[in-house]
Amino acid sequence: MYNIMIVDDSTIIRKTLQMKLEELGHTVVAQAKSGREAVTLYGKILPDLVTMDITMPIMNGIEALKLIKKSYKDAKIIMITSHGEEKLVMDAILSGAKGYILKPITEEKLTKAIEKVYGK
Amino acid sequence: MENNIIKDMLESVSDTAVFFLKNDMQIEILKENGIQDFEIGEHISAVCFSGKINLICAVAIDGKLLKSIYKVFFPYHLSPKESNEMLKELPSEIVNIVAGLSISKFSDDCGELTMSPPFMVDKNLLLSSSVVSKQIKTSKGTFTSFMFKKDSYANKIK
Repeated sequence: MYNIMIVDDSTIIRKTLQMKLEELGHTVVAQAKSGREAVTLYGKILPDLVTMDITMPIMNGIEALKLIKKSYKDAKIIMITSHGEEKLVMDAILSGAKGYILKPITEEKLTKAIEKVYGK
Repeated sequence: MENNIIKDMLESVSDTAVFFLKNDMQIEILKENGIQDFEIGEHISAVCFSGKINLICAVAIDGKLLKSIYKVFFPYHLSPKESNEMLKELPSEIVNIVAGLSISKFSDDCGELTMSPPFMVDKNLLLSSSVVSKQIKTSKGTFTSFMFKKDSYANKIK
């Protein structure tokens, strides 16, 4: 089970992720509302895993992913998106994301994505 | 030409909404077209598509339908105050999901599009004649999708 940081500007998505991740036995160690907040928090918390929304104001998820990976190359980040656009998802994967989940979020999608990160 | 693209995009959004309501939220769809008693739901949110064409995509959801979606979307117990806050935010999340998942279905005519975070639009704006819409009637209430050019209404969007 892992220590996870949630990054999403939507309260309902942060709460949904928190509830589902805790039901799966993980611990939510931090939550950030923007990419910028996530970059600052990551270095302080050093979570095992991050769930990162792509579309956020101030700093989007892909910019935050790139900044975190620049300083912490082993950071494990799963993108959460409603974007069906392949280019955006490919950009995230090429920038170091370990996977992505298409909304709406389900426990099954979360489990599969986390297992994939840890090679299970 | 542009009007056809807008109508096609509206169709894609509405089709995605049907899939979301039926398959993800387990809500029965009663009718997708030709609804006589056209009424706009009170819970409204929108996103902007930017690129070769700049459009606003909005959704309006009936209160009863929104509560039904909420029960499936967030099946956890919260205080009434917290639940109300979540309900207020839910239309934004719904338009984000429905519009976002539709992008890949848009025709090549649209080129590469980016999508903004959700924002509010005034209900009166959606009643304008240049706004195209499509309504879905469900067992819990109506869900309406709207599409219109951003330029014409830029100063009226909150």
